Amino acid sequence: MRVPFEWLKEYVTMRLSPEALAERLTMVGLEVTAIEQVEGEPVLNLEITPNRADCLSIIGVAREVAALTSQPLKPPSDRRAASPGGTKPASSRPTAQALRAVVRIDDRHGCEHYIGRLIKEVRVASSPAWMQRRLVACGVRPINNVVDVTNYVLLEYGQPLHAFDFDRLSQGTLRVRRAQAGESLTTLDGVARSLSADMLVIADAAVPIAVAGVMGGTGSEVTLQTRTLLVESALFDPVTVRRTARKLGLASESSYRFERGVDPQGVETASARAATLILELAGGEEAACYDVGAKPLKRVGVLVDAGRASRWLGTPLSPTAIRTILAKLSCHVASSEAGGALHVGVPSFRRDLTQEVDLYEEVARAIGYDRLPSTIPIASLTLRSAEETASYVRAQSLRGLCASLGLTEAITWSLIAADEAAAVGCDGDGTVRVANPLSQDHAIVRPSLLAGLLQALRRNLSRGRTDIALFEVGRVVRAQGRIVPENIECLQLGVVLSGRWFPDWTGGKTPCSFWLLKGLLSTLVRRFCGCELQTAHATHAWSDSGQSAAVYAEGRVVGVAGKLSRKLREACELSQDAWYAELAVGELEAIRRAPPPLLAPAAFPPVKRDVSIILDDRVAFDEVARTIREAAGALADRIELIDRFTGAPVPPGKHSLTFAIEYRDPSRTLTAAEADAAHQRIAEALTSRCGAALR
Amino acid sequence: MTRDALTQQLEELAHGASQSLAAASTLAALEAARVKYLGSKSEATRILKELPSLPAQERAAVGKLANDFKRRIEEALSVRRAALVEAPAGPAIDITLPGSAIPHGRLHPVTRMMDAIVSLFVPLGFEVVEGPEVEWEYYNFDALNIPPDHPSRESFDTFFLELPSAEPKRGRLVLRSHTSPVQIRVMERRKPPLRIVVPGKVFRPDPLDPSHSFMFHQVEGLMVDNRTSFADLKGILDQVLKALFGPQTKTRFRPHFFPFTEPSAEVDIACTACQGQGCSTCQRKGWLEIMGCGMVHPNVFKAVGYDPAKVQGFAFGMGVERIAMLTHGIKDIRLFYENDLRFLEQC
Repeated sequence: MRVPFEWLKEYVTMRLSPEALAERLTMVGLEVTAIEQVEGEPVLNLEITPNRADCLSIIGVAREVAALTSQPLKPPSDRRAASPGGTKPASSRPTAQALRAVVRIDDRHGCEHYIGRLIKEVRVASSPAWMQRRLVACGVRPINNVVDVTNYVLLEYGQPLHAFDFDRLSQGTLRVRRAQAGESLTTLDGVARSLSADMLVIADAAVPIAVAGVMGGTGSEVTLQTRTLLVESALFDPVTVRRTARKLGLASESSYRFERGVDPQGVETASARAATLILELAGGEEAACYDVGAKPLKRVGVLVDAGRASRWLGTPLSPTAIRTILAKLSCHVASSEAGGALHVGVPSFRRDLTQEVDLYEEVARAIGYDRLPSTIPIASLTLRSAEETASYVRAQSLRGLCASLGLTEAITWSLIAADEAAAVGCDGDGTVRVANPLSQDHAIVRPSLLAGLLQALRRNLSRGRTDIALFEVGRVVRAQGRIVPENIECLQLGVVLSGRWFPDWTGGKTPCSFWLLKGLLSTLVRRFCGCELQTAHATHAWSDSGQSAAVYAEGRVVGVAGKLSRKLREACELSQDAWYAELAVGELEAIRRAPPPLLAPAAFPPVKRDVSIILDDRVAFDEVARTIREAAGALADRIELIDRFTGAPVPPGKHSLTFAIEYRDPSRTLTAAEADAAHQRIAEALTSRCGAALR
Repeated sequence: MTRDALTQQLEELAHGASQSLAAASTLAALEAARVKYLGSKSEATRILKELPSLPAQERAAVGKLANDFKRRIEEALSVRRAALVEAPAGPAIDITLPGSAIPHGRLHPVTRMMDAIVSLFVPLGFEVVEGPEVEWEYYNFDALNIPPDHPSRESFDTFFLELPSAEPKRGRLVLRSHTSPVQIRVMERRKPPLRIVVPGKVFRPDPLDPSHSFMFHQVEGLMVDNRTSFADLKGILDQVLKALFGPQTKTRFRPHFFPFTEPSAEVDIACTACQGQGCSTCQRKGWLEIMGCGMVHPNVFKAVGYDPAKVQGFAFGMGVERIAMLTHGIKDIRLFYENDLRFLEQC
C-alpha cells in the first residue's frame, strides 16, 4: 500500500516528518518498508498484513495515525458539501426523462449490498492534475476523469468501485448473478476469459459485463463517448471473489480488498463520495440511486476482562486504561452488567476484531510492544524432557559420529527431478510427485538420498575436488502401505566416497574402496547400535553386480552399500569411481542395544601365533573366519586378518590370507603346547573345510 | 676354573665392556651392551653361577671380584646412559612440515546453527520434538486457525503432493510450509504444561534466488501453561537473541499478524552489519527481522481440545538459514545446498 504523505496529511493533522511517521507506523504494526520520492513528494510504502484490510486506504491509515497521535480524523465528507444525490440511501429517483435502470441481486450469498448510481450527461475527459499526481504516486495509471474518480475513491476509502457505460447495457439492466457455463467476457486487460458457474458476475439483460469484485469488461467500459454512467459500489463475498480471482489468475486492487473484507458501512459513503467527485469533475447530474440489499448494521460486541488481559500480556491493566485505549481506536466501550468485564462494540471497518484476544492485541499495540514489560517465565519442572528429546539427540549424535569418522555433512534438495530418480532406479511405484512443482528439476519428493549426494559428488568433482567423503542424514518419502505421514517418511543416512581417504605426505594414500566404506559403516553401527555389521551380496539398480551388498545387523537388513555402476558413472559424467551406502536410521534405532557391562582386561598373557594360507578366490572371507572361530574354540581370544595378498608367487585365481591369532585362557597362563594344539586344529580345519593350503 | 683365571677373565670382560659402552651411540646399542655384559646369558652371570662350584675359601674373594665387576659396569652404563640422553638427538627434523592427515569431517552450517539454537532452550527445560515433513493440510493450516479460502493462507504458499489421502477429513497431503504443525501434534497428545522446541525442514514454493529457497529450516518453540504471558515471551526471546548474536544485541518487538497467535509480533535485532545505522544488509532500516512470535490463539487451543479459558502461552518460529547467514556473513542462501566442500570445510 503506497501512501503519499501529503494526501495523508489532508485527513489528519500531524507534525511528524515522513521518517518519524514511518517509525511510528512500523511500531504499531503497519510496517513501512520504504519511503520513496515521487515528483519530489514522499510516498510511504506500507506492508499491510492480511488482517488489516481497513488500512488498505488513505483514510484507514489516517485513522490509525489519528489514534496514534490523539488527533481528530478529518474525513472528506466533513469538508465538502453533500452531493446532489444525497448521502442517504435512496431507493429510486426517476428523473423527468424517465431514465431508468433495473438493478437486481440474484445471488444474495455473493453480494449482500449493491448501490448503483445513475449519472447522466457526463463529459468524459482527463482528470485534473492533482488527482492524476496522487494516482500516479499510488501506482495507478490515470485513464479519464470517471475511471480516475473510481480509483481515487478506492484508494481513499478502500471501497472498490466500478463505472459502467450505462448506454451500452442491454435493457438498462444490471444483475448480480453467477455466471453460466459457456459464458465468457473480455476483461479490461484485454483478455477473453471463459467463466464458470461458480463465478459471480455483473450482467446486463443478456451477457456478463464484469467479473464481480475483480474486473470490469471492455463491452461496458467508460470511454470518451460515454454520456451516462452507472457507478457501482457493492459488498461482495470475500471467498467468492478470492476463488474467482484465483481461478481466472487475475488479481486486482479491487479483488485484493474484497478478499480481505471491506467496511460494510463504507459502501454508501464511497458511493456518495464518488458521485460528488464525478459531478465535480465530469459534470452531469445524478439521475437515480439504486440501493439494493442494505441491511442494518450489526455491531460486533466483545467482552473484555481486564484481569485476563493483564495475565495474557503480563502487565497490570485497569479497565479504565483499556477503555481509554479502545475508545481511541473507535470502539464503543461500556461496562457490562456482568461486572468487571468491558463490553466493546467494534467499529464496522475493523472486521478483524472478533474475539477478546484481538482486543488484547489492540491494547498492546496502543501501549507499544516495546513499553510492555519483559520477564522470565516461571515454570514447573518436568521429567519428561528426556523422552521427547532422545530421538533428536540420537539423530544429532549420528551426525556427530559421521563427522568424527571423517565424513562431511551435506544437505541436498528433498525435491529432485524425475529423471534423477530414474537414473538411480528409484522411480518405481512409491514415487511421490509434487502437484504444483516450481520446476521439473524439483518435481518429486526424493525416495532416496542417492540422487542428491550424487549431485554433490559431481559438483565437487567438476570443481576440481578429487577426494570426497560426504554424508547426509535426511528424510525420504515412499508411498507405501497406508498413506499417512508417519508411514511414508523415513530418516536415512547416505554416505558417498570417492578418490583417496585423507592423503598426506607421510604416506597416507589409501584409495577409497568398498572396504573403506564397509569399515566406516561397521564403526558407525558398532558405535551407534552396539552391534556388528554384516554384508551379503545383493544387486541394486545403481551398482554393478558383484560390487554391492545388502547391509545387515542383528539379522535385519539395515541398508545397502556398493560401488556406483559404470552406467551411472557414465550417465552422471563422474570422472572417477565412487562408492555409496544408505542406511535406514529407524532400523539402526531398532537394533540399538544397551551397552554391555565393561570387563576388566585379562590378567594372563596371550600366546600369539600367525597363520598364512592360500585360498581359492571363490572362498568368501566370512567362511574362513567362521572356520577359524569354530576350530579354535574358546581359546582364540582375538583373530585378526593382518594381510591379504594376490599375485606371484600366489597362483592366479587364488589369494593368500594371514591371520594373527591370540590364544588366551582367562583363568591361568596358557602353555605354548596348548596354544599350538589349538593352532594345529585351525590349520587342519582350514585345509579340510576351506581347501586352504598352508604357506 | 681357578681364581686367577677368573680374575683374568673378568678383567678382559671389563675391558671389552668399557669399549662397548663407549662405542654405543644410541640407547638401543647401550641396552644391547648391557644385555651382553650383564644379561642373564652374559659371561659375568655365568661366572656368578659357577661360584658355588668353587672351593669355599675362594668363593668370597671371587664373588667380591664378580660383584665389583658388575658394579663398575653398571656405573659405566648409567654414566653413558646419562651422556646419551643428554647428547643431541641427531639432526633437527623440520617440525614445520604439516602433521599427518587425520580423518575428520564437518557438520553442515545449518545443522550447527539449528543445534546451537535448540541448545539454548534445552537448559530452560524445553523438550526437543520433531514432526513429519509430509503433513496433513489440516495440521499445516486449519488447526492453526488458517481457514481455507482465507487470504492468510497466502503467506503460506505450499507444495501439495499427488497422493491419495488415507484420511480425507485431514485434507490433502502437503510438504509442511512451517514447523508449527508440530505444535498441534504435540498438544493433541499431551496436556499442558508444555515447553517444546521443534527444529525441522520446511518447504515453500519460492523460486531460488540469493535470499529465497523452496527448502529451508526453522526452529519453532511453544510454551503453554496457565500463566505464561506476552511479557515472558519478550523476556525469553530477548535472552535467546543476546545469546545468539552477542550480549549487546538490541532487540525490538513490533506488531505483526499470524493467524495462530494473538497478539502477534515480529522480532528485529539492530542490524549486525551496521549496528543500526542503516546499510544494504538491513535495506537501510537499521533493523533485521529475525523471527515471528506471539501468544497462542485461543482457536488453536480449541482445535486441540484445550479449554482456551484455562491455558495460555506463547509460540515463536525462526528461520535457521537466515540466522546462519547473518552470523557467518553469507550473502547467498543457495550456498547451503550446493554442498561445495570448499564452503562446508570452513565450518
